[in-house]
Amino acid sequence: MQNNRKRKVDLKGGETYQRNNTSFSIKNNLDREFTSQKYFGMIGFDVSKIFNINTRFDYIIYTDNGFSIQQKTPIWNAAMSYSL
Amino acid sequence: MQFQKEELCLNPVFFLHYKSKRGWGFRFVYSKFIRAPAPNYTNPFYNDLNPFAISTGNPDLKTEKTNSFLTTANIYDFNSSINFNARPQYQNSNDAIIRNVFVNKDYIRTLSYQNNGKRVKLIALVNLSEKLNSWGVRFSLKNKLSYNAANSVVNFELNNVVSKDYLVKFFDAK
Repeated sequence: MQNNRKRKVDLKGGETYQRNNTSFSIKNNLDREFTSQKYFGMIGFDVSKIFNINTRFDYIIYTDNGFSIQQKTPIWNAAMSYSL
Repeated sequence: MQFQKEELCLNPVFFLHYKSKRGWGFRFVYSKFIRAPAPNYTNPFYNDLNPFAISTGNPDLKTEKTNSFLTTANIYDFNSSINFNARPQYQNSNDAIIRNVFVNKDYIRTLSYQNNGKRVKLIALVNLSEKLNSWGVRFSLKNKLSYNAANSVVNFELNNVVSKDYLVKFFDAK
């Protein structure tokens, strides 16, 4: 989802969910099931015509039947840009 | 040693396109195609550069013959600015090129290929996006469902392997 008017502020947010299920008819010990969930949000702000600041946050969660724990990965990114 | 193989195949394509009104389009495509084995699939020499993952090709591999049925629907409604796409596809292959894997007690894997049975593939894509002027936002929803069934030889046992994938995206950020 994102805002329509982007004159000053650019807003984006979303989610991705992925699931895989693989099964073997005889070698059942090779059966596998994993999921990944990704959430993100982003804000960009034009301070002036030549100066922009923006930040983005991603949060990713992986699960797999071969592992007992969930792997959670937060990623934060921030940037400033200035046109010369 | 020179390796040369020739095969003559007839691969028909049937195409139907229907436009009911402006912004609405439907398409149906039937096609038959062949997939030749990749060069490393037919190379008979043992590749043991990685001693834990050995691979060897099979020079007797045949081509994989596939029947593909594809339908697409693209709808754009100018009044509500709704964009809808659907793309179901079914593929059925004979003489499927499958993997033959052997893992020994020291976890050294030897991989080769052979023709065996059928491969069935189903892929369905459904996308929807809309601009909501009253809220001042645009949203998009993407769905992908895939089903893949083929044989695979694991330690001399022939398995039927079924892989099912589902993907849903609520706004795709590039």
